[in-house]
Amino acid sequence: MNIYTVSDDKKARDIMQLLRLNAECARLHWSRTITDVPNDVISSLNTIEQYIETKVIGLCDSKMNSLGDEEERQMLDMIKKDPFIKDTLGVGVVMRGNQANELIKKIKGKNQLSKIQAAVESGMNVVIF
Amino acid sequence: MIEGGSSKNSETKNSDNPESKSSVPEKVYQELAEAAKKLNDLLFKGDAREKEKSDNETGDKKNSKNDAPERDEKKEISKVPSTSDILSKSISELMKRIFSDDIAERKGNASESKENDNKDAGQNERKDSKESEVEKKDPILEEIEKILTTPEGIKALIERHPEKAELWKSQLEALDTLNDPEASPSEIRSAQAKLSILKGQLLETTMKDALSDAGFDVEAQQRVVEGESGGTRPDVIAKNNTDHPIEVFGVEVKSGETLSVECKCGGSAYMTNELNNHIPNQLSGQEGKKILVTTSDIKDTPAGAADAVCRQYGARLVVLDVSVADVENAIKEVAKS
Repeated sequence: MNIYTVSDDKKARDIMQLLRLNAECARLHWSRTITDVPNDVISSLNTIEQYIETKVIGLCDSKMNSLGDEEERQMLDMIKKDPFIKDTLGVGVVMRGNQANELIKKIKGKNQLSKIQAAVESGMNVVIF
Repeated sequence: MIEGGSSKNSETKNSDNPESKSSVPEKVYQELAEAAKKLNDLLFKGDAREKEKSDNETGDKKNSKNDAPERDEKKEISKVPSTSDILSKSISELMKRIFSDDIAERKGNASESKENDNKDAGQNERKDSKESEVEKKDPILEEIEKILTTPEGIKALIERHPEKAELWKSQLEALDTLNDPEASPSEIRSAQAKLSILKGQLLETTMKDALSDAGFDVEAQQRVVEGESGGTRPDVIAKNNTDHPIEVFGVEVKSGETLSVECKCGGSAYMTNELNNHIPNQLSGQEGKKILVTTSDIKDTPAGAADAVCRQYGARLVVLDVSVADVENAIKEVAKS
Protein backbone atom coordinates (compact mmCIF):
# COMPACT_ATOMS: atom_id res chain seq x y z
CA MET A 1 0.00 0.00 0.00
CA ASN A 2 1.06 3.56 -0.66
CA ILE A 3 1.02 6.70 1.48
CA TYR A 4 -0.35 9.80 -0.24
CA THR A 5 -0.85 13.35 1.03
CA VAL A 6 -3.66 15.74 0.17
CA SER A 7 -3.84 19.33 1.36
CA ASP A 8 -7.51 19.97 0.51
CA ASP A 9 -9.86 18.79 3.32
CA LYS A 10 -12.82 18.44 0.95
CA LYS A 11 -10.81 16.22 -1.36
CA ALA A 12 -9.76 14.15 1.66
CA ARG A 13 -13.43 13.62 2.56
CA ASP A 14 -14.27 12.72 -1.06
CA ILE A 15 -11.50 10.14 -0.94
CA MET A 16 -13.00 8.72 2.27
CA GLN A 17 -16.31 8.21 0.47
CA LEU A 18 -14.61 6.60 -2.51
CA LEU A 19 -12.67 4.19 -0.27
CA ARG A 20 -15.89 3.09 1.46
CA LEU A 21 -17.53 2.48 -1.91
CA ASN A 22 -14.49 0.55 -3.08
CA ALA A 23 -14.72 -1.68 -0.02
CA GLU A 24 -18.39 -2.45 -0.66
CA CYS A 25 -17.75 -3.21 -4.33
CA ALA A 26 -14.86 -5.53 -3.45
CA ARG A 27 -17.00 -7.35 -0.86
CA LEU A 28 -19.65 -8.14 -3.43
CA HIS A 29 -17.03 -8.86 -6.09
CA TRP A 30 -15.43 -11.57 -3.95
CA SER A 31 -18.45 -12.62 -1.91
CA ARG A 32 -18.74 -16.27 -0.93
CA THR A 33 -22.35 -15.90 0.19
CA ILE A 34 -23.71 -14.13 -2.88
CA THR A 35 -22.46 -16.66 -5.38
CA ASP A 36 -24.66 -16.02 -8.39
CA VAL A 37 -23.25 -12.62 -9.33
CA PRO A 38 -23.33 -12.55 -13.15
CA ASN A 39 -20.11 -11.86 -15.03
CA ASP A 40 -21.38 -8.54 -16.36
CA VAL A 41 -21.99 -7.35 -12.80
CA ILE A 42 -18.51 -8.52 -11.81
CA SER A 43 -17.21 -6.63 -14.80
CA SER A 44 -19.06 -3.50 -13.64
CA LEU A 45 -17.63 -3.88 -10.16
CA ASN A 46 -14.18 -4.13 -11.71
CA THR A 47 -14.88 -0.90 -13.59
CA ILE A 48 -15.97 0.94 -10.44
CA GLU A 49 -12.97 -0.33 -8.51
CA GLN A 50 -10.64 0.76 -11.32
CA TYR A 51 -12.34 4.15 -11.45
CA ILE A 52 -11.92 4.62 -7.71
CA GLU A 53 -8.24 3.71 -7.90
CA THR A 54 -7.62 6.25 -10.64
CA LYS A 55 -9.79 8.90 -8.99
CA VAL A 56 -8.24 8.58 -5.55
CA ILE A 57 -4.71 8.83 -6.91
CA GLY A 58 -5.82 11.78 -9.00
CA LEU A 59 -7.29 13.62 -6.02
CA CYS A 60 -4.13 13.22 -3.96
CA ASP A 61 -1.37 15.81 -4.17
CA SER A 62 1.53 13.40 -4.14
CA LYS A 63 2.72 9.92 -3.24
CA MET A 64 4.88 10.18 -0.19
CA ASN A 65 5.99 6.61 0.40
CA SER A 66 5.18 2.90 0.08
CA LEU A 67 4.59 0.39 2.88
CA GLY A 68 6.61 -2.78 2.85
CA ASP A 69 4.94 -6.12 3.53
CA GLU A 70 5.90 -6.09 7.20
CA GLU A 71 4.86 -2.46 7.69
CA GLU A 72 1.52 -3.20 6.09
CA ARG A 73 1.03 -6.28 8.24
CA GLN A 74 1.69 -4.31 11.43
CA MET A 75 -0.69 -1.53 10.39
CA LEU A 76 -3.42 -4.08 9.69
CA ASP A 77 -2.79 -5.70 13.08
CA MET A 78 -3.24 -2.36 14.84
CA ILE A 79 -6.39 -1.62 12.88
CA LYS A 80 -7.87 -4.85 14.25
CA LYS A 81 -6.89 -4.10 17.83
CA ASP A 82 -7.53 -0.38 18.27
CA PRO A 83 -10.92 1.18 17.45
CA PHE A 84 -9.42 4.66 17.01
CA ILE A 85 -6.84 3.36 14.55
CA LYS A 86 -9.63 1.47 12.79
CA ASP A 87 -11.51 4.78 12.37
CA THR A 88 -8.47 6.52 10.93
CA LEU A 89 -5.93 4.26 9.25
CA GLY A 90 -8.68 1.66 8.82
CA VAL A 91 -10.82 4.07 6.83
CA GLY A 92 -7.74 4.98 4.83
CA VAL A 93 -7.79 8.72 5.51
CA VAL A 94 -6.23 10.58 8.46
CA MET A 95 -7.51 14.14 8.67
CA ARG A 96 -4.98 16.71 9.75
CA GLY A 97 -5.48 18.45 13.14
CA ASN A 98 -6.88 16.69 16.16
CA GLN A 99 -7.26 13.31 14.47
CA ALA A 100 -3.68 13.39 13.24
CA ASN A 101 -2.36 14.43 16.65
CA GLU A 102 -4.27 11.64 18.41
CA LEU A 103 -2.98 9.06 15.94
CA ILE A 104 0.62 10.18 16.39
CA LYS A 105 0.30 9.46 20.11
CA LYS A 106 -0.91 5.93 19.33
CA ILE A 107 1.73 4.95 16.79
CA LYS A 108 4.73 6.82 18.16
CA GLY A 109 7.66 4.51 18.80
CA LYS A 110 6.41 1.73 16.56
CA ASN A 111 9.22 1.33 14.07
CA GLN A 112 7.13 -0.39 11.44
CA LEU A 113 4.78 2.58 11.29
CA SER A 114 7.44 5.29 11.08
CA LYS A 115 6.58 6.11 7.46
CA ILE A 116 2.95 6.69 8.39
CA GLN A 117 3.99 8.77 11.39
CA ALA A 118 6.19 10.95 9.19
CA ALA A 119 3.33 11.50 6.76
CA VAL A 120 0.84 12.40 9.51
CA GLU A 121 3.35 14.76 11.12
CA SER A 122 3.73 16.64 7.81
CA GLY A 123 0.56 18.59 8.61
CA MET A 124 -1.25 17.28 5.52
CA ASN A 125 -4.21 14.93 5.28
CA VAL A 126 -2.88 11.43 4.77
CA VAL A 127 -4.35 8.72 2.53
CA ILE A 128 -3.34 5.07 2.84
CA PHE A 129 -4.29 3.30 -0.39
CA MET B 1 -44.48 16.89 -94.72
CA ILE B 2 -42.24 18.22 -92.04
CA GLU B 3 -44.05 16.07 -89.62
CA GLY B 4 -43.86 13.07 -91.90
CA GLY B 5 -40.24 13.82 -92.66
CA SER B 6 -39.53 14.24 -89.07
CA SER B 7 -41.41 11.05 -88.33
CA LYS B 8 -39.37 9.31 -91.01
CA ASN B 9 -36.27 10.73 -89.53
CA SER B 10 -37.33 9.66 -86.15
CA GLU B 11 -38.16 6.22 -87.51
CA THR B 12 -34.74 6.00 -89.03
CA LYS B 13 -33.35 7.09 -85.79
CA ASN B 14 -35.42 4.57 -83.97
CA SER B 15 -34.41 1.84 -86.29
CA ASP B 16 -30.81 2.93 -85.99
CA ASN B 17 -30.84 3.28 -82.31
CA PRO B 18 -31.33 -0.32 -81.34
CA GLU B 19 -28.47 -1.20 -83.61
CA SER B 20 -26.23 1.41 -82.27
CA LYS B 21 -27.13 0.35 -78.79
CA SER B 22 -27.13 -3.35 -79.54
CA SER B 23 -24.29 -5.50 -78.41
CA VAL B 24 -21.72 -6.93 -80.82
CA PRO B 25 -23.22 -10.46 -80.96
CA GLU B 26 -26.67 -9.03 -81.74
CA LYS B 27 -25.18 -7.03 -84.61
CA VAL B 28 -23.46 -10.09 -85.93
CA TYR B 29 -26.68 -12.03 -85.60
CA GLN B 30 -28.62 -9.42 -87.54
CA GLU B 31 -25.99 -9.31 -90.26
CA LEU B 32 -26.01 -13.08 -90.52
CA ALA B 33 -29.79 -13.12 -90.59
CA GLU B 34 -29.75 -10.63 -93.47
CA ALA B 35 -27.15 -12.68 -95.27
CA ALA B 36 -29.27 -15.77 -94.72
CA LYS B 37 -32.28 -13.99 -96.24
CA LYS B 38 -30.27 -12.90 -99.26
CA LEU B 39 -29.01 -16.44 -99.65
CA ASN B 40 -32.56 -17.75 -99.48
CA ASP B 41 -33.66 -15.23 -102.07
CA LEU B 42 -30.94 -16.32 -104.44
CA LEU B 43 -31.46 -19.99 -103.86
CA PHE B 44 -35.21 -20.05 -103.92
CA LYS B 45 -35.92 -17.15 -106.32
CA GLY B 46 -37.25 -19.64 -108.83
CA ASP B 47 -39.64 -21.06 -106.31
CA ALA B 48 -40.86 -17.60 -105.53
CA ARG B 49 -41.38 -16.77 -109.23
CA GLU B 50 -43.26 -20.03 -109.76
CA LYS B 51 -45.31 -19.21 -106.79
CA GLU B 52 -45.97 -15.74 -108.15
CA LYS B 53 -46.94 -17.27 -111.43
CA SER B 54 -49.32 -19.71 -109.91
CA ASP B 55 -50.61 -16.93 -107.75
CA ASN B 56 -51.23 -14.80 -110.77
CA GLU B 57 -52.89 -17.66 -112.53
CA THR B 58 -55.09 -18.36 -109.60
CA GLY B 59 -55.64 -14.68 -109.29
CA ASP B 60 -56.64 -14.39 -112.90
CA LYS B 61 -59.05 -17.18 -112.42
CA LYS B 62 -60.37 -15.68 -109.30
CA ASN B 63 -60.35 -12.17 -110.62
CA SER B 64 -62.81 -13.30 -113.07
CA LYS B 65 -64.98 -14.40 -110.27
CA ASN B 66 -64.70 -11.82 -107.54
CA ASP B 67 -62.16 -9.33 -106.32
CA ALA B 68 -62.87 -9.58 -102.71
CA PRO B 69 -62.47 -13.35 -102.40
CA GLU B 70 -59.28 -12.99 -104.39
CA ARG B 71 -57.79 -10.77 -101.72
CA ASP B 72 -58.86 -13.27 -99.11
CA GLU B 73 -57.31 -16.12 -101.03
CA LYS B 74 -54.15 -14.10 -101.54
CA LYS B 75 -54.05 -13.62 -97.86
CA GLU B 76 -54.51 -17.32 -97.35
CA ILE B 77 -51.83 -18.18 -99.88
CA SER B 78 -49.44 -15.71 -98.39
CA LYS B 79 -50.05 -17.43 -95.08
CA VAL B 80 -48.74 -20.71 -96.51
CA PRO B 81 -45.01 -20.71 -95.93
CA SER B 82 -42.79 -21.17 -98.95
CA THR B 83 -39.68 -23.41 -98.93
CA SER B 84 -37.52 -20.31 -98.79
CA ASP B 85 -39.50 -18.97 -95.83
CA ILE B 86 -39.16 -22.28 -94.06
CA LEU B 87 -35.45 -22.45 -94.72
CA SER B 88 -34.99 -18.80 -93.81
CA LYS B 89 -36.85 -19.41 -90.60
CA SER B 90 -34.78 -22.49 -89.93
CA ILE B 91 -31.56 -20.59 -90.49
CA SER B 92 -32.82 -17.77 -88.29
CA GLU B 93 -33.72 -20.22 -85.56
CA LEU B 94 -30.38 -21.89 -86.00
CA MET B 95 -28.66 -18.53 -85.67
CA LYS B 96 -30.74 -17.74 -82.62
CA ARG B 97 -29.81 -21.04 -81.12
CA ILE B 98 -26.15 -20.52 -81.89
CA PHE B 99 -26.19 -17.08 -80.35
CA SER B 100 -28.50 -17.96 -77.53
CA ASP B 101 -26.02 -20.72 -76.66
CA ASP B 102 -23.27 -18.20 -76.91
CA ILE B 103 -25.16 -15.72 -74.77
CA ALA B 104 -26.16 -18.43 -72.38
CA GLU B 105 -22.59 -19.51 -72.23
CA ARG B 106 -21.51 -15.97 -71.61
CA LYS B 107 -24.23 -15.60 -69.02
CA GLY B 108 -23.15 -18.89 -67.55
CA ASN B 109 -19.58 -17.76 -67.55
CA ALA B 110 -20.56 -14.56 -65.86
CA SER B 111 -22.57 -16.36 -63.23
CA GLU B 112 -19.86 -18.95 -62.99
CA SER B 113 -17.23 -16.28 -62.47
CA LYS B 114 -19.55 -14.69 -59.93
CA GLU B 115 -19.93 -18.06 -58.30
CA ASN B 116 -16.20 -18.49 -58.43
CA ASP B 117 -15.78 -15.06 -56.89
CA ASN B 118 -18.26 -16.03 -54.20
CA LYS B 119 -16.51 -19.35 -53.81
CA ASP B 120 -13.20 -17.55 -53.53
CA ALA B 121 -14.67 -15.13 -51.02
CA GLY B 122 -16.19 -18.03 -49.14
CA GLN B 123 -12.91 -19.88 -49.23
CA ASN B 124 -11.12 -16.77 -48.01
CA GLU B 125 -13.67 -16.37 -45.25
CA ARG B 126 -13.28 -20.00 -44.34
CA LYS B 127 -9.53 -19.56 -44.53
CA ASP B 128 -9.78 -16.52 -42.24
CA SER B 129 -12.06 -18.29 -39.83
CA LYS B 130 -9.76 -21.29 -40.02
CA GLU B 131 -6.83 -19.07 -39.24
CA SER B 132 -8.59 -17.52 -36.30
CA GLU B 133 -9.67 -21.01 -35.28
CA VAL B 134 -6.08 -22.10 -35.41
CA GLU B 135 -5.21 -19.13 -33.29
CA LYS B 136 -7.96 -19.95 -30.82
CA LYS B 137 -7.28 -23.64 -30.85
CA ASP B 138 -3.57 -23.25 -30.26
CA PRO B 139 -2.97 -26.17 -27.88
CA ILE B 140 -0.72 -24.05 -25.64
CA LEU B 141 -3.42 -21.39 -25.32
CA GLU B 142 -6.04 -24.06 -24.64
CA GLU B 143 -3.91 -25.46 -21.86
CA ILE B 144 -3.36 -22.01 -20.35
CA GLU B 145 -7.08 -21.30 -20.48
CA LYS B 146 -7.87 -24.63 -18.83
CA ILE B 147 -5.44 -23.98 -15.98
CA LEU B 148 -6.69 -20.47 -15.29
CA THR B 149 -10.41 -21.19 -15.37
CA THR B 150 -10.67 -24.36 -13.34
CA PRO B 151 -9.99 -24.89 -9.63
CA GLU B 152 -8.24 -28.13 -10.59
CA GLY B 153 -5.99 -26.25 -12.98
CA ILE B 154 -5.01 -23.65 -10.39
CA LYS B 155 -4.45 -26.32 -7.75
CA ALA B 156 -2.19 -28.23 -10.16
CA LEU B 157 -0.28 -25.02 -10.88
CA ILE B 158 0.22 -24.42 -7.16
CA GLU B 159 1.47 -28.01 -6.78
CA ARG B 160 3.87 -27.55 -9.67
CA HIS B 161 5.37 -24.51 -7.92
CA PRO B 162 5.98 -25.34 -4.28
CA GLU B 163 8.32 -22.34 -4.08
CA LYS B 164 5.29 -20.08 -4.55
CA ALA B 165 2.81 -22.12 -2.57
CA GLU B 166 3.15 -20.11 0.63
CA LEU B 167 2.81 -16.75 -1.12
CA TRP B 168 -0.22 -17.89 -3.08
CA LYS B 169 -1.77 -19.41 0.01
CA SER B 170 -1.53 -16.10 1.86
CA GLN B 171 -2.99 -14.31 -1.16
CA LEU B 172 -5.87 -16.76 -1.24
CA GLU B 173 -6.50 -16.06 2.43
CA ALA B 174 -7.23 -12.47 1.43
CA LEU B 175 -10.62 -13.82 0.40
CA ASP B 176 -11.38 -14.38 4.09
CA THR B 177 -10.83 -10.68 4.74
CA LEU B 178 -13.07 -9.73 1.83
CA ASN B 179 -15.80 -11.86 3.38
CA ASP B 180 -15.31 -10.49 6.88
CA PRO B 181 -18.16 -8.06 7.63
CA GLU B 182 -15.98 -6.33 10.22
CA ALA B 183 -13.11 -5.66 7.83
CA SER B 184 -12.21 -1.99 7.39
CA PRO B 185 -11.73 -0.32 3.98
CA SER B 186 -7.94 -0.48 4.40
CA GLU B 187 -8.05 -4.21 5.14
CA ILE B 188 -10.30 -4.70 2.14
CA ARG B 189 -7.97 -2.64 -0.03
CA SER B 190 -5.00 -4.71 1.09
CA ALA B 191 -6.83 -7.97 0.34
CA GLN B 192 -7.99 -6.64 -3.01
CA ALA B 193 -4.41 -5.80 -3.99
CA LYS B 194 -3.25 -9.28 -2.99
CA LEU B 195 -5.84 -10.93 -5.19
CA SER B 196 -4.98 -8.61 -8.04
CA ILE B 197 -1.34 -9.66 -7.75
CA LEU B 198 -2.39 -13.30 -7.52
CA LYS B 199 -4.35 -13.11 -10.79
CA GLY B 200 -1.36 -11.63 -12.58
CA GLN B 201 1.03 -14.17 -11.11
CA LEU B 202 -1.15 -17.09 -12.08
CA LEU B 203 -1.22 -15.98 -15.71
CA GLU B 204 2.47 -15.16 -15.70
CA THR B 205 3.49 -18.49 -14.17
CA THR B 206 1.21 -20.43 -16.49
CA MET B 207 2.79 -18.64 -19.42
CA LYS B 208 6.30 -19.40 -18.18
CA ASP B 209 5.44 -23.08 -17.79
CA ALA B 210 3.89 -23.20 -21.25
CA LEU B 211 6.94 -21.63 -22.88
CA SER B 212 9.25 -23.88 -20.92
CA ASP B 213 7.25 -26.91 -22.06
CA ALA B 214 7.49 -25.60 -25.63
CA GLY B 215 11.29 -25.75 -25.42
CA PHE B 216 12.31 -22.28 -24.27
CA ASP B 217 14.73 -21.48 -21.49
CA VAL B 218 12.72 -19.14 -19.30
CA GLU B 219 14.47 -16.67 -17.04
CA ALA B 220 13.49 -17.46 -13.45
CA GLN B 221 13.94 -13.96 -12.09
CA GLN B 222 12.46 -10.81 -13.50
CA ARG B 223 15.01 -8.19 -14.49
CA VAL B 224 14.84 -4.54 -15.33
CA VAL B 225 15.02 -3.48 -18.96
CA GLU B 226 14.95 0.06 -20.25
CA GLY B 227 11.65 1.22 -21.74
CA GLU B 228 11.05 4.47 -23.59
CA SER B 229 9.90 6.18 -20.41
CA GLY B 230 11.81 4.31 -17.74
CA GLY B 231 12.80 0.93 -16.41
CA THR B 232 10.36 -1.97 -16.63
CA ARG B 233 10.39 -5.66 -15.73
CA PRO B 234 9.02 -7.89 -18.49
CA ASP B 235 6.82 -10.64 -17.06
CA VAL B 236 8.48 -13.36 -19.10
CA ILE B 237 11.82 -13.46 -20.90
CA ALA B 238 12.43 -16.72 -22.73
CA LYS B 239 15.26 -17.75 -25.00
CA ASN B 240 15.29 -20.36 -27.71
CA ASN B 241 18.52 -22.20 -26.96
CA THR B 242 17.60 -25.12 -29.18
CA ASP B 243 19.02 -25.57 -32.68
CA HIS B 244 15.64 -25.19 -34.33
CA PRO B 245 12.99 -22.48 -34.50
CA ILE B 246 10.06 -22.68 -32.08
CA GLU B 247 6.63 -21.33 -32.98
CA VAL B 248 4.29 -20.17 -30.25
CA PHE B 249 1.05 -18.19 -30.65
CA GLY B 250 1.86 -17.67 -34.33
CA VAL B 251 5.29 -16.19 -33.60
CA GLU B 252 8.36 -17.97 -34.84
CA VAL B 253 11.36 -17.63 -32.56
CA LYS B 254 14.56 -18.65 -34.26
CA SER B 255 17.41 -20.47 -32.60
CA GLY B 256 19.26 -18.07 -30.29
CA GLU B 257 16.41 -15.53 -30.35
CA THR B 258 14.64 -14.11 -27.29
CA LEU B 259 10.90 -13.90 -26.70
CA SER B 260 9.46 -11.36 -24.26
CA VAL B 261 5.92 -11.60 -22.96
CA GLU B 262 3.80 -9.12 -21.05
CA CYS B 263 0.78 -10.66 -19.28
CA LYS B 264 -2.37 -8.75 -18.37
CA CYS B 265 -5.21 -10.28 -16.38
CA GLY B 266 -7.89 -7.74 -15.49
CA GLY B 267 -11.12 -5.98 -16.37
CA SER B 268 -11.62 -3.67 -19.33
CA ALA B 269 -11.08 -0.51 -17.25
CA TYR B 270 -7.81 -1.95 -15.99
CA MET B 271 -6.81 -2.88 -19.55
CA THR B 272 -7.62 0.62 -20.82
CA ASN B 273 -5.54 2.15 -18.06
CA GLU B 274 -2.67 -0.23 -18.80
CA LEU B 275 -2.86 0.49 -22.54
CA ASN B 276 -2.66 4.20 -21.86
CA ASN B 277 -0.07 4.24 -19.12
CA HIS B 278 2.08 1.14 -18.88
CA ILE B 279 1.92 -1.19 -21.87
CA PRO B 280 3.67 1.21 -24.31
CA ASN B 281 6.65 1.50 -21.99
CA GLN B 282 6.63 -2.23 -21.25
CA LEU B 283 6.50 -3.22 -24.92
CA SER B 284 9.12 -0.67 -25.89
CA GLY B 285 11.52 -2.26 -23.42
CA GLN B 286 10.88 -5.87 -24.43
CA GLU B 287 13.71 -7.79 -26.06
CA GLY B 288 13.51 -9.93 -29.18
CA LYS B 289 10.11 -11.10 -30.35
CA LYS B 290 7.33 -9.39 -28.38
CA ILE B 291 4.00 -10.72 -27.21
CA LEU B 292 1.21 -9.14 -25.18
CA VAL B 293 -1.07 -11.79 -23.64
CA THR B 294 -4.33 -10.63 -22.13
CA THR B 295 -7.65 -11.90 -20.87
CA SER B 296 -10.60 -11.38 -23.19
CA ASP B 297 -11.53 -8.18 -21.34
CA ILE B 298 -9.21 -6.28 -23.68
CA LYS B 299 -11.92 -6.63 -26.34
CA ASP B 300 -13.98 -4.11 -24.37
CA THR B 301 -11.31 -1.42 -24.49
CA PRO B 302 -11.68 1.42 -27.02
CA ALA B 303 -11.73 -0.04 -30.54
CA GLY B 304 -8.32 -0.57 -32.05
CA ALA B 305 -6.40 0.68 -29.02
CA ALA B 306 -4.67 -2.61 -28.22
CA ASP B 307 -3.91 -3.34 -31.88
CA ALA B 308 -2.49 0.13 -32.37
CA VAL B 309 -0.17 -0.15 -29.36
CA CYS B 310 1.01 -3.61 -30.42
CA ARG B 311 1.54 -2.46 -33.99
CA GLN B 312 3.54 0.52 -32.82
CA TYR B 313 5.96 -1.65 -30.88
CA GLY B 314 5.95 -4.65 -33.18
CA ALA B 315 4.30 -6.94 -30.64
CA ARG B 316 1.77 -9.70 -31.24
CA LEU B 317 -1.48 -9.46 -29.31
CA VAL B 318 -2.66 -12.80 -27.99
CA VAL B 319 -6.13 -12.68 -26.46
CA LEU B 320 -7.17 -15.59 -24.28
CA ASP B 321 -10.70 -16.89 -24.54
CA VAL B 322 -11.00 -16.29 -20.81
CA SER B 323 -12.27 -13.26 -18.91
CA VAL B 324 -10.94 -12.01 -15.62
CA ALA B 325 -14.28 -13.00 -14.08
CA ASP B 326 -13.61 -16.62 -15.15
CA VAL B 327 -10.23 -16.54 -13.42
CA GLU B 328 -11.72 -14.95 -10.31
CA ASN B 329 -14.44 -17.58 -10.12
CA ALA B 330 -11.82 -20.33 -10.25
CA ILE B 331 -9.79 -18.56 -7.53
CA LYS B 332 -12.91 -18.37 -5.33
CA GLU B 333 -13.42 -22.11 -5.74
CA VAL B 334 -9.80 -22.84 -4.84
CA ALA B 335 -9.99 -20.62 -1.75
CA LYS B 336 -13.15 -22.46 -0.62
CA SER B 337 -11.42 -25.82 -0.49
